[in-house]
Amino acid sequence: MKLDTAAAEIGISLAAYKRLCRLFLDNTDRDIQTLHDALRAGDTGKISETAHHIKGAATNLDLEELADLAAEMRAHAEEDHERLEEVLSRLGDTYKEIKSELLEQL
Amino acid sequence: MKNILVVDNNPMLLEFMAELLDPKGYHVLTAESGLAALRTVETVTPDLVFVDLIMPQIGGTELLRLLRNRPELEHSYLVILSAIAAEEPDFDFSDLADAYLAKVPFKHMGANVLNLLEDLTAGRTEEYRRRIVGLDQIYRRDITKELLFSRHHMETMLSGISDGFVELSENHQVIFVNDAAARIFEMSREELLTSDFPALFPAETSQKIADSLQRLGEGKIELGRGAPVYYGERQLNLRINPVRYKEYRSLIVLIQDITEQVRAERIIRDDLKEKETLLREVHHRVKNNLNVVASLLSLQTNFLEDPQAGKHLIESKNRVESMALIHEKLYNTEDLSGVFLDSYLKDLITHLLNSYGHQSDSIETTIDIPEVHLDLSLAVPLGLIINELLTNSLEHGLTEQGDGQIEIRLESDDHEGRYRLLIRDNGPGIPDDLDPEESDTLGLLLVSSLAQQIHGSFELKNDRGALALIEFQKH
Repeated sequence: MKLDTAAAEIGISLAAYKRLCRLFLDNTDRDIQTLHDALRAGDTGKISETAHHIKGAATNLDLEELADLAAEMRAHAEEDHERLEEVLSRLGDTYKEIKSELLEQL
Repeated sequence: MKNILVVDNNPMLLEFMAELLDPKGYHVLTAESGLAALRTVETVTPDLVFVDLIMPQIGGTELLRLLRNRPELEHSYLVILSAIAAEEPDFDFSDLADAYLAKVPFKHMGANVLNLLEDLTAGRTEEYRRRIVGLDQIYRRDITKELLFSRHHMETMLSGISDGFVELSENHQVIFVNDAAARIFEMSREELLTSDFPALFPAETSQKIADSLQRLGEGKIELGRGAPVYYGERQLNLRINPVRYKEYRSLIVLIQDITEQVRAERIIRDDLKEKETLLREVHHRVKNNLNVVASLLSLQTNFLEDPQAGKHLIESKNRVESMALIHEKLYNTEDLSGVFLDSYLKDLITHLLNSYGHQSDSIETTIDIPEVHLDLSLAVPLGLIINELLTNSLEHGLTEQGDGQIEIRLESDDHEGRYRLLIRDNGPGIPDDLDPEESDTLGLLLVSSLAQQIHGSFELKNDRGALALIEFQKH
């Protein structure tokens, strides 16, 4: 993902797009930690809500793979723990790659 | 068109809109909730407002209605900016807003927003009233669909309950209100939204509610039962619970209209008091009438020459008086359903001793009875039984030499659910050939018969004097 291309596509400056990316990273770091906590506590309501946050933010920036994983997380929020752990693990890995790519350009 | 207000609880969206529009010369104001938006429009009149539909602290639909009703915003252009469009593509927004942009990825949303502003400037607004813009660019959002269902489900349930449900912000402004609460306050839901909750009430009550909300802290409180809370003619009961979720803070107020309930309770209490007074009066009159009967019997003895006949009349008089004593106890006590056995027995013994001409200290009486409350159906036959047995002791068992003893003891068998009553005197005892079941004396026949009436048994034997045993069911 090239930040300057994305910024031009959206119609904002590169500096503005970088600010949006930093906001996205701050929020998603916090949301992923919340997902881990909620999964440990078995709080399905919080899992749904937090997955919704991540999906919304990922959709805003057109990060479809991350948005799909967040959707999957939400869809299975009330199902077995192992399945959720597996999806959260994939979601974490995908996010790490995105974060790494973004940080290189910020 | 210079001032643009964006209302959304997604900080990224707010940041995006500011970054998109500020460089184009617009003055962008942002608000993270409906309530914050309403505060903003108190000081600034926006030319255009973007509103998300799903938000905490006053949802988008309510906010749009409130904005639409403000005269100073008459010419403001209202735009829905929401992801719900995917689930409700045919949603009729004409009475809520002037346009509806679907929430899509920023790369599309930026262009959609700028196109809208350009068309507005050029006066090309008609098309926006007819369709949702960006439906073809929307990302499938199953999550939103489920959350939307969940929200509709919750709102439907809350609108169906008969009690008022109000959510307040931290500074006590109404941010959600259901239909029942609107009916209680006789205002529309829109009128109630953003109202200062304590200020809805008359001054004195308002201060009381405001003070309680200030003291609320972590706990919950209830107002209205001890000290009444009135709204007009209505008496209300308020249950206030703080809500804390992450950084989110609010207060939930459940409002019960207890006007009818309190009125019904008052009527029942008054009715009960009236019936108690009547019942007390009935017992008083029964006691008086029984005493008249006892007096007549007593008077009649003065005209009898046969001492045996006189003795029988006195015994009958005592039976009547043992019953009168119960009614006397009943109308003098708070509880009209029965009497306390120990208190009744003490009075009965004193009465019988006097009746037979004994000084109250001439016979040593030992009463060992726990605090037992007997209802009328048990107290009357039991009183008559004890009357007969004590009469027997006083007539046949004890002398007036000052060494007479009567012992009355009640034992409770909780396991069997029965009482055991023992009455013993230290007299010569009963004749060896006396069988209470076959006795031809009225007293013992009465005791046997009354013992059966209370589902009990009766036994009379010698044990250091005469010993009578009565066992009977507790209830």
